Formats: sequence, structure tokens, C-alpha cells
Amino acid sequence: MSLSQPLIALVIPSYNEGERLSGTLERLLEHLGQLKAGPLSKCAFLVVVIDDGSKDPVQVDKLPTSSAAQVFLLRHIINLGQGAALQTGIELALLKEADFFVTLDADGQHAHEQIADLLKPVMDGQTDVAFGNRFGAHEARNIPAMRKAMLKLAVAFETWLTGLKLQDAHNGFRAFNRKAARLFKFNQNRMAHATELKQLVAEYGLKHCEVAVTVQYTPESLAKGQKTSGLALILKDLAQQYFFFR
Amino acid sequence: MFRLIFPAVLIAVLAIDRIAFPKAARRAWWALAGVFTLAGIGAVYPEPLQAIASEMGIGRAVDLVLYLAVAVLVREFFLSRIRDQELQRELTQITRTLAVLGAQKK
Repeated sequence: MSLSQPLIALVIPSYNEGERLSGTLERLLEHLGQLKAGPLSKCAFLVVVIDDGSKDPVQVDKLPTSSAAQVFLLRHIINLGQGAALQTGIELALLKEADFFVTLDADGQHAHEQIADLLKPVMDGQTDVAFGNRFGAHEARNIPAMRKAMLKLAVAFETWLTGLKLQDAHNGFRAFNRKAARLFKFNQNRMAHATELKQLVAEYGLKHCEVAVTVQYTPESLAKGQKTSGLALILKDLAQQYFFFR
Repeated sequence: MFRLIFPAVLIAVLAIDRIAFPKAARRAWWALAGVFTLAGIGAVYPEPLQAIASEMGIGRAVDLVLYLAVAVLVREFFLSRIRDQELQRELTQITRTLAVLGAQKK
């Protein structure tokens, strides 16, 4: 894809989201239509949904369509985890010669209106990776105190581990360019990929920044989102990788 | 008494495993039989082991066997962890390839 018409891939891993995925996609496609009519009129959009072995598989016929974007559905025949699903989506997008990449959660937690904000520094060439920051100007809505404390702990841990000074951790809303996408090879299939991504950014010396985004916590997204107990699993996965694969 | 019971137990376990092991793993069964035979001989005639243990400054032959067994088991644990991760990696790659090849366009 030439940069006269950049291709932007939106990668959305989904696991047991059911009806919510369709709702998220509908809103997303509607918003992409607006972007295409406005600030990103020169861009083409590619939406890649990865069904990560959901018990009730996502049916391609039930996905919404739009003239604003091509929509692809990929299915992992077994559940591998969010990191693996993202990697699969990124690989398809690379094959389709996408120039820019945005990762989003399937549950609609991320505010689609901020996609353009997130993409801007990447598309302007100021940075390779733009991390969403829910603790920036748009403080996360309804964030439970326990979740916030855990995230702050994760931020401190990742700063120590990677040397990257960022305000947020494990925010699935990010944008990056093709150069970064080609370097991201996650060993971490599960949630620890978010930490691994920062490690890769540090290791390859990629330019990075944070962009304030809104994360909306609803009772359902909280019920399904990462549990506090997930932190132990993330640490275990990271330790395992460190000891067995370095 | 133990000297007699222990080999009997080993023989019984081997006999059961002969059935329990899958046919494809017959070689593994023979390897197990070899280890068990040595263990049985060691139980019935412990003197040579005892001599080695004493020579090495370990009081009892049993302790010598125990140390060796622990070392082997710990090593085996680490190796199986690594194998697990490699398998997981391969499985991920296969799943990913299938997903990309089967990508459906809406």
C-alpha cells in the first residue's frame, strides 16, 4: 500500500463476547465512516476480528458491514489468549500491507472517537508506537479503586522492568506503524503480552509516546475484564519466559 | 524383609505397566524395566552400593540413591517445562496459520 492512500488496520481480539462484539463493530464502522468523510479521508480501513476460540464461534454472516472498511474474521480453533490473538491479527494485517495498526478491545471499553488522536503522532511520523493512557487528561470513568491500585502497581513494575516511563499499563488501546508491527513477535500468548510489548519497544529502541484516552468501565466489562488474580498469572508467565527462553 | 518385598513390588509394577503403557511406548517400558532391575539388585545385594557410598563419605547407600534420584527428577522437571513451552509455541503457530489461511472476508 502506498502512503498516498495509507491502509489502517484495526485489530480486535475477541473471546466469548457474543452480542457485544457486533455492537462494538457497528459503532466502530460507523465511526470509521465519519473518519473517512472527515479527517482521514485519504485512508483505507481494514478491520480484523480474531475469534480466539470462543465457545460460541463468531459467525461471519452476523458481522455488520460498511463501505468504510473491509472486515475480516479469523478464528483460532482453540483458545490461546489475547496476546496470541493480537499477533494473529497483526500478521494478517501485515500480509494485507497495512501501514498503521490500532489495537482495540472487543467489549467497547475504548472510545472509538479517540482512534484519530491515537493515530496522529504515529501517522505524523513523530513516534513508532502510541500507547493509550487512561490516566491522562481523560481520566478513566468509573474505575474501581482496587483496579486502579493494581494498575499503578503494574506501571511501577513495568517501569522498573523496561525503563519506559509511562503512566499506564495493560491498556489494550494502542497504535503503531508497520516498522513496529514487524518487530512485535509475542512469546506471551496470554495477558503478559502487554508487558512484553513494552519490553520489545525498549529492546528495539522504538520511538513511543502516550496519548490520553478514555476507558469506560461498565459492570459487564468489569465482570469479564482482567481480574486482580490475573496479576499473579502475568508475573508467572513473565518469570517463565525469563527463565526458560532467554 | 524389605529386600524381598521391594523387588516383588517392582516386578508387580512392571507387569501392570506392560499393559498400561501404550504399544508405541514399548521401548520406554524396557528402559523402565532396566532401571527397576538395577534397583532390585541394589535392594537384594546392597553391599557394592554401600561401599561406594562409604567411599564418598555418605553414610548410607540409600542416601546416595536418593541424592541421585532427586537430581535426575529436578532436571527432568525443568526439561519437561521447556518441552511444554516449545509445544505451546508450535501449537500457537499451527493455530495461527490455520486462522490466517481460513480468514473470511465479510
